[in-house]
Amino acid sequence: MLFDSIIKNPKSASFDGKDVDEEIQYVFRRHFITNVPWIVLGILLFFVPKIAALTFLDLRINGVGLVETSVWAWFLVFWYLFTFGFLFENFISWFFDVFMVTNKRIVDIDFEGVLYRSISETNLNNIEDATSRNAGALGAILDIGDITIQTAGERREFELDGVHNPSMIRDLIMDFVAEYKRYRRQR
Amino acid sequence: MNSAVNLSEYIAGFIKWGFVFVEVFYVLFAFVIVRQVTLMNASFSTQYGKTFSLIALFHLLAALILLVFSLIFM
Repeated sequence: MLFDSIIKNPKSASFDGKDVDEEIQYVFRRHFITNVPWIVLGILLFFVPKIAALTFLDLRINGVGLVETSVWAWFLVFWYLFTFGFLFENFISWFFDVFMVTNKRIVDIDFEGVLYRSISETNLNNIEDATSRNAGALGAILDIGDITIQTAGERREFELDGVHNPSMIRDLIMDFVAEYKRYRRQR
Repeated sequence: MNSAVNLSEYIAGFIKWGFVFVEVFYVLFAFVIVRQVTLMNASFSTQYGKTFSLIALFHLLAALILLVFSLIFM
């Protein structure tokens, strides 16, 4: 579940405002491959001190080292802490940026960095139609794309970005919504 | 000679307070991460929630220790 982008019936998951009789049917998040840019950047950051050591550590002026050992040690500790913080912040931003389908509604939780949070939801009854799109190299090669869900609610559109197999997920959501609406009509 | 000593002291002081300045900002960033993880866990809770909170707290603690050490020893 830690690295999954599609989770069906997560038993241990919950969300703010979940009703007692409500069950999460699906949790979707961006495919893990969409994290490659910050992972690569994190790996590059990891090697920065090694490059800096080759450049600055042996620099001497009149036989005296330009960079003191204590300063270098401080820089190393700070740099690796910063690299860890960067990776952790990016990971949690990905992990908690989820789109949920419950047996009552859809819930879209968006996080961007540490300073932005947005939560939107609408009843399954309000869902009207959905569009899936594959675009760009990632879409063509790895079948990663976006889904737009149109609703009759106050927020007109819900977006899922960078999901794997968007047409399958669109179909899954719309089948579930159709089943829900059929059930509601029969009651 | 005196001016050279003063200059090196000035540069050392500049580096130290430069480090402290950067670290204060980093501690603030680490604190914001702790708060954000708490909010994230409240919004969407999983079995990993406590682990994330612990990691964020350790990260903040490490940043604080580094700040205190550089204030004392640098």
